[in-house]
Amino acid sequence: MRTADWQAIAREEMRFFGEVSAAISHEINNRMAVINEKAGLLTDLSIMMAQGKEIDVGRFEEQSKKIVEQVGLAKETIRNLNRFAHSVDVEHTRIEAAELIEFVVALYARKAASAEAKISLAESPESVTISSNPFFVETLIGRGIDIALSRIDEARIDIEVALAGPAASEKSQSCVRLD
Amino acid sequence: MRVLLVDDEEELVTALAERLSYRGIEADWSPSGNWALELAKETAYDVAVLDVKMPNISGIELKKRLEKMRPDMKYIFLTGHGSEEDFRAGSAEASSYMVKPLDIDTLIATMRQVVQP
Repeated sequence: MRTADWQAIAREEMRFFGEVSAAISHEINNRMAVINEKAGLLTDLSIMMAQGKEIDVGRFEEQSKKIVEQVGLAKETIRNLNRFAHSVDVEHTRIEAAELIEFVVALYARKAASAEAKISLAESPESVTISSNPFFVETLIGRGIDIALSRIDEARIDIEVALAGPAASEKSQSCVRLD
Repeated sequence: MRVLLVDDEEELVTALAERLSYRGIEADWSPSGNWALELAKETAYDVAVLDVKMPNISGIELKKRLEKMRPDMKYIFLTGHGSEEDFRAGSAEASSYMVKPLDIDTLIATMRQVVQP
């Protein structure tokens, strides 16, 4: 490949890294915002109780559980961020393709929800292992999903990411294929 | 003061509405733009607090539709990003712009400020 081609790939990879990082930071911030309101609500209820107002004690447990749920969601997002950040560590390795696609689909969950799209991994007949640069493959899959998402207008669509052409079902309105 | 809160994070808007009610502010909430439009048909709110990024109808688009229905309503935009792009959109389109997580006292002070004649 020419130097210009390598530079174009590097730019695309950098853009993908930036976009995914921004989406993940947005998601973490959303969890923090909800936790902030729930903690504030618990404080309000405590103050009112201390002032002698009758408060159902079950509300404390209910709100605490919701905070724990939000922490769980944030932990999952941070785990994905960590894995994504470390995908640039190795130049070349063996990759379980379905697992990597599933990971990129998870990274795109929020973006897809915002576009009212549903992304899923098409059923794969067997395990497929490829030897490549994991970050480069993530970028390819991500860009494929971006192209599919960009075709959404008003209607809700399903996007199916398949390992090979025939694996994509006919019912999918939009499909990303890794032949 | 009657307030409309719109954010697709339902757990956030419900908690915020309850906390505002403890401070004497009547707040209705909606997790979507379409539902918010229905609420605004029924009630003349003084101020709408809108998340910028929501599925289907964005906060900016929702404001345009609400303005046609309620020309006197004031707007505060919320964002989780605090990005330059959001800031430009928010400061150009709304009376005020705030970054999540929110400080409730600052939100109330901002709401009072924007509804002042």
